[in-house]
Amino acid sequence: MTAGRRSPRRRPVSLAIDQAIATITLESPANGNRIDSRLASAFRRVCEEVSADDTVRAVLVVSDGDDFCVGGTPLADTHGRLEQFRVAAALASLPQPVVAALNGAVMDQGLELALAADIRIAADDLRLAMRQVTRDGFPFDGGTQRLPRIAGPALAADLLLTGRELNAGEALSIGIVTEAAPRGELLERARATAMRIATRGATAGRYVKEAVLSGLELTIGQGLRLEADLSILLHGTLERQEGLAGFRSRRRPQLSTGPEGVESQ
Amino acid sequence: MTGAFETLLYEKCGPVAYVTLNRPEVINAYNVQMRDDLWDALFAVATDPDVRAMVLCGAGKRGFCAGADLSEFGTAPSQTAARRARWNRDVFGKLLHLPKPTIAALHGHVVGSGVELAMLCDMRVAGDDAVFSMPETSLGLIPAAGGTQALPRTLGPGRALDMLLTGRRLSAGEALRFGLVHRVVARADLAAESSTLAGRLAALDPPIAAGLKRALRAALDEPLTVGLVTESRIASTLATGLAR
Repeated sequence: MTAGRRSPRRRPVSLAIDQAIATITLESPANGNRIDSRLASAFRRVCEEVSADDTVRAVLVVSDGDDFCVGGTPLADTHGRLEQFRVAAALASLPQPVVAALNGAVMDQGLELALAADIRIAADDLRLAMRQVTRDGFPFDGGTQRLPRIAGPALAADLLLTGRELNAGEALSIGIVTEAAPRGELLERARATAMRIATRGATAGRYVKEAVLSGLELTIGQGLRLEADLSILLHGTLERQEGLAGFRSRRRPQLSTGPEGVESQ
Repeated sequence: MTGAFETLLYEKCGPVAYVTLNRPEVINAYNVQMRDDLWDALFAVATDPDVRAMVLCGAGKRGFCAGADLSEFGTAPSQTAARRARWNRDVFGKLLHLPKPTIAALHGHVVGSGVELAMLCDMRVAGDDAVFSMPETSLGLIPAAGGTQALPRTLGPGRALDMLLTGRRLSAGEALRFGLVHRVVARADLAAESSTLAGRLAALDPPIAAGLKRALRAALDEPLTVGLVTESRIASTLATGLAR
C-alpha cells in the first residue's frame, strides 16, 4: 500500500484511494487495533469521506499487524456514550460494496465491524468470537442483529451465549466468510476481489447491495418490486449501455472508467 | 399436451409435469418467447388437477440456462415500457407462488436468469457438471428475476453478495456447500434422481403440499407471531378438509 492519497501523520485509521478502490486500514497494531473512541472517531470520518467519493467503486477494510481487531471498549467503560465508540454503522452505511480482509483475532466489536462488510475473506490464522455477554458486557455495534442474519439464529445464539471461538475453516463452512487464504496471500486475494468488483458496473454494484440488504427487510414480494425498479432505473446509465454493447459485439465491456452514477441523458 | 410451445417442451408423466427449456442452440437463453411460453406452461401446471409436481430442466448437453437473451431484453424502448413488460407477465412471481412442489434439475451452465429460475423452485438437484454464476454487474446490470431476493434468503447475505458482486463461479460441490442446491448427483443420473424426487413430492396430498409452500413463504415474510397464526390457519383449514 504505497500508491494513492494518504495522510502524512500516523492516525489509528488510514485511508488510501487507488484505482477506484478505497482501502481503510486499522493502524494500531501495538494494541491489536482495539476500538476506542479515538479509533472509532477516525474510522467514522474516513467512512464519511469514502461515502461522498463517487470515484470509489469498492472498499477494502484491512488491518496492520497480527490481528484484525482484538475487540472494543468494554460497555462499562463507555459511560453510555455508545455513539462515540461505534464503527460498524458507519461501514454499513457505505453505498459501495465493502470487502473485509480478516486475520488473527477478530473479536467482539471487531467481529461486529467485520459483519458490517458485504464480503469477508479470512486468513488461515483467523480466530473469531463475540464474547461481550460472557464478560458482563453487551454488543452495541450491531452484533446481535447481523450475526443471526449471517450465521443463522441457532449458531448466533451459541456464539453469543458461550463466547466460543471459531477458526477460519469453521467460519468458511458456516458462511461468515466466503473465502479463506494463506496469511501471506490475504491482502492480495482481498484486493483481487475488490478489483473484480471495481471493474464491474459501479452503479450496478451499489444497487445489488441495496437490493440485497434492503430486500431482506421486506417480504419477498416487496423485494421483487424493489429489485425490478432498481434494475429498470439502471436503464439510464452509460455503464449499462456499454455493458450491452460489449455483450452484443462479444467483447469485454469497459465499465471501470468514469464515476458512479453517470447517466446517458 | 406435449411440444405445444416454441421454446419449451411440456410433458406429463403420471402426476409429474416436465417443463424443459428448449433452445439448446443458445444454451436455453431466456427470451421473450420463452417468458410467454413459461407463463402458459406454469398456468397449465397450476390448473391441471392431474399434475401434482413439476420438474424444470434444460435441453441439450451444454447447460440448464445461459441467462437472459440480452439481444431481446436489452432493447426496451423506454423505462416505463420495460417496467410494464416486467409486470405484465410476472413469470417469476407465478413460479414463486405455484401451489405445487417444484424441482429444478440443473446441469452445465446455470447462469443469471437460469440461477434465478432455479432459486424460485422449492428444491434444486444439480448434476456434478453444473457451474453457477451471476454475471449481471459485469454488464452494468443487476438481476431482475429475483436473484437479489431469493439468493440472500437461501444462502444468507454474505454468500449471496459474494456471488452477486464478484460474479464468482461456483462448481456443483461449492453450490452444495453454499446451500444453493439441495443435492448433487452424477450428471448421468440427474434425470432419474429428479424424477424419483418428483415422484415423492407428487405423492404428497396436494392441499397439504400447497399449504406447506404457503407456510414456508410466511416463515420468511412474517414475524414469528404472525407466521404462527398463518400456520395455524392453514392447518385448521386442512383439518376441516381431512375430516371424514
